[in-house]
Amino acid sequence: MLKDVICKLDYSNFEEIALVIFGCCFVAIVWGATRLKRESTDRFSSIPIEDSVVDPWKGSES
Amino acid sequence: MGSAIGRWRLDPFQELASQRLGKTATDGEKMKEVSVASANASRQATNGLQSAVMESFSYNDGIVRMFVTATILWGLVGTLAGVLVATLLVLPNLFSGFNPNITALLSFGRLRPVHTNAAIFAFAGNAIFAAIYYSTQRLCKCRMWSSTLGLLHFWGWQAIIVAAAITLPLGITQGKEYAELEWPIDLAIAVVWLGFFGGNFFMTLWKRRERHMYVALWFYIATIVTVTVLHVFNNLVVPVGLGKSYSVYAGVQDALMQWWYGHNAVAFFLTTPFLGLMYYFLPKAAERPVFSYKLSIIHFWSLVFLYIWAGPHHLHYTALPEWACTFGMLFSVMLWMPSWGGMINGLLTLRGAWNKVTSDPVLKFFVVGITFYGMSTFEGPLLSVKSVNALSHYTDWTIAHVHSGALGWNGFMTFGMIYWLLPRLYQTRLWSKKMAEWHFWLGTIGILLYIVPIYAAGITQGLMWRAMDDLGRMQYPNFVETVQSIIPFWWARVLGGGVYVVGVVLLAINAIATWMSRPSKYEVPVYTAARLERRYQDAPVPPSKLAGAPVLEAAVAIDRVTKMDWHRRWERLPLLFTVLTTAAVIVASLFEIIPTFLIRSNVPTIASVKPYTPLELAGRDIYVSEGCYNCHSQMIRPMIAETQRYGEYSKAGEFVYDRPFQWGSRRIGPDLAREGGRQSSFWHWEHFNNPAQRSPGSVMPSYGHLLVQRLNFGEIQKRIHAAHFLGAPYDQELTDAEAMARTQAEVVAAEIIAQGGTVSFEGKLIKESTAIALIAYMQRMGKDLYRVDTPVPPLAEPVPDKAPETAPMPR
Repeated sequence: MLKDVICKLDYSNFEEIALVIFGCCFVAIVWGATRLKRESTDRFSSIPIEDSVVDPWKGSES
Repeated sequence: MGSAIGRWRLDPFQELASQRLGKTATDGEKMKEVSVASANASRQATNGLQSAVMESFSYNDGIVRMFVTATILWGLVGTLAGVLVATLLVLPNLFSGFNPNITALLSFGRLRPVHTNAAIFAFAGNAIFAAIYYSTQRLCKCRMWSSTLGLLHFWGWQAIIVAAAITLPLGITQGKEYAELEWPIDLAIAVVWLGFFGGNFFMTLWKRRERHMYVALWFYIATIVTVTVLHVFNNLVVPVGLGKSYSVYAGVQDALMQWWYGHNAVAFFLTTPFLGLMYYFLPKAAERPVFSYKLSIIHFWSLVFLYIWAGPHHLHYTALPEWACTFGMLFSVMLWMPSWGGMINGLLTLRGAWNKVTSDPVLKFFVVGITFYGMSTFEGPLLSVKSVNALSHYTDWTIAHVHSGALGWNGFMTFGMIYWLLPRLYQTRLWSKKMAEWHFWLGTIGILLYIVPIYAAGITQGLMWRAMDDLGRMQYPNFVETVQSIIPFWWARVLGGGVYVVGVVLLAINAIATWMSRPSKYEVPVYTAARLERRYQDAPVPPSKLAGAPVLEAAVAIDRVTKMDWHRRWERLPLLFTVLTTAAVIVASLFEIIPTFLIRSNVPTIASVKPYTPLELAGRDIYVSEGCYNCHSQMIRPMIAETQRYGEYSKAGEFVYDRPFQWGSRRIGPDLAREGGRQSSFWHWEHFNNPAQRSPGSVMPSYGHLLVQRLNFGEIQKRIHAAHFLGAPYDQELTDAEAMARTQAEVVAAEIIAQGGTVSFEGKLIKESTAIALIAYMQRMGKDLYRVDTPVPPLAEPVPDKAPETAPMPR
């Protein structure tokens, strides 16, 4: 049955469909990244160089 | 650990700073750090961030030391093997004086996979594990979940490497690039990678004390998940014995799966974990946070979405459907964006710290490593463009590209990490900073000495293959002539590789000397932090700007969604994050795989293409075992330059019984897709014995061992059964394979004798040699397309003696 369904698909458009899927995901991720507040990115990026635990919302307690 | 808790408490960063300054922290300083940490935890607990339960823990650096040691050891082995195989190309008869059975073990075809596997899975693999074990503990603020799993992982992985180093020279191989290891080893890889390593990693994430998962951990998650998926699905086989199996995929489908795997092995084994390494160790070494965390998020998701679709660009102009190739090219070109985003992010992390680069070898390695990442990720998409690929494919251009990535990006990032880790792991100073500087310069010069001539060799040979004279005929019809023209470049490669190896030797000496100056007993810093609360209260979502405005409720909801608070939650939920990454990888893969497998028009069958005879099948297995695909392709592209040289271009339907496909990726020798009938069987016999005699200037080594080794006819029957199980329409072969093989061997041997050969060679009948089977296979190559079966006249209906008493049962 799956084979029948797949055979009905017009796979010649797969590149375009894939591009659209990627485009949507990419826009969503870029949008999400740009919405990050400066304080949040500062906190996250400091995780490897800080010894104390960092709170995602409130920041480092040190 | 217990005794160490009370005895030794030290902030590791204070310790590191002290080491840099060349002084030892006092006990007073150490105790002060602990009290700060405890106070922090208490405050966090009262804020509801952490549990009130305080926990003490230390990091497991023993396992990191083991992986670092293994990285250096295998780095040495892998690069030495590389120099050896490079030398074999310029001195093909280097081992010709040895016993033929020894020579067989040391041929280019068998040793090249040893080099690639040692470099990728042994050197880069152990480097990845060292990086992940060290950084994950620090980023999660907790010890690795299980020391036992860590040890099982370490020794299991080393055992796999040793098994590879033994089986590959013996010719035990699946015949697929970077996936050569046979099924028992593949099973072991799955258990060690996912069971020991993955299990330990994910449980550590689960038990972490840091709420937010830093971006390096995302790259590690993507690595573990995707490599598992790639490894399992590309290595689905039907075993014939412990050392032999047939891929469940054939021809075009096998090619698609292999390069889906091959390209993504580069992506998710040699790129994403090293990016995780970069995002952790570069800020540590530069002592400043990554330039843009936002860019790192975009970098991560773009890579995960894009890489997985790009595999078919390895198969341009082959029998793979064109839509799949276009698909691969399109997404490869788009990879420029995130790759350069990552490179820029890495380099700009050093903003304000460039003065340190001049004096710190660690940063030097990182800067050059990231620059090579930028170069090779610029070049990769370029090579995926069809018109460029038409020139570059099958030439040394690809080899140069791969080595700029492997030696420059993977090698230098690993060396930088090791030099940063050595003093911290062994709790002493690096033995010689000057030697590290020497390593850096030797490595850099070695890479340039390697890649520049090989780029020149690739472009030279590619242009010679397609050069036409005024009458439209090949300007260089003799393939060997094109090989001879690039041999000086190959010599330069040996020199460049040798210089690079000297650098690795310096690293090994420096590491051993640093280890020898270690303290009698390692100090184990103990940390205190609160356990994470199971239920975490997210910060309240700020109200929508549209709340209360005269707009639809849907507009308010959309506004809330676009604030992306949901993504912040994902970033601290390992299970969800893993599921999403897996879904991204699998959905993208299915877009390519499903149509290729399920739509018949993608692989049009050709009625005249028949399964191999038992002897030809045995010969094909020898072809795979000897690693012939490392030098010969079996894929004629639809280009004038190729069809003039090799014959009619290859069709998808010609490969339906090829398990595994043997299209190859490099032409050190000519394409063999239409080799059948091109030369006499006796020519092949002589050519195996002494290639340069039949083909002056050839760099092919002698395969004299094939002439004296006896073919195991008894093995053929079960191989026929396995091929039949996978769909080959055998009939009489299912019961008489051995006898049929012996009969055909006698025919081939008779041909050879009639053409000038002898009945026996070195006291052994030639009809029983392995070479006979290989010749039978080679004489079959590419001939089915032109096969015209003589129609068999229908037999006259036998006249029954009497009418049947009962009508036959309907079937």
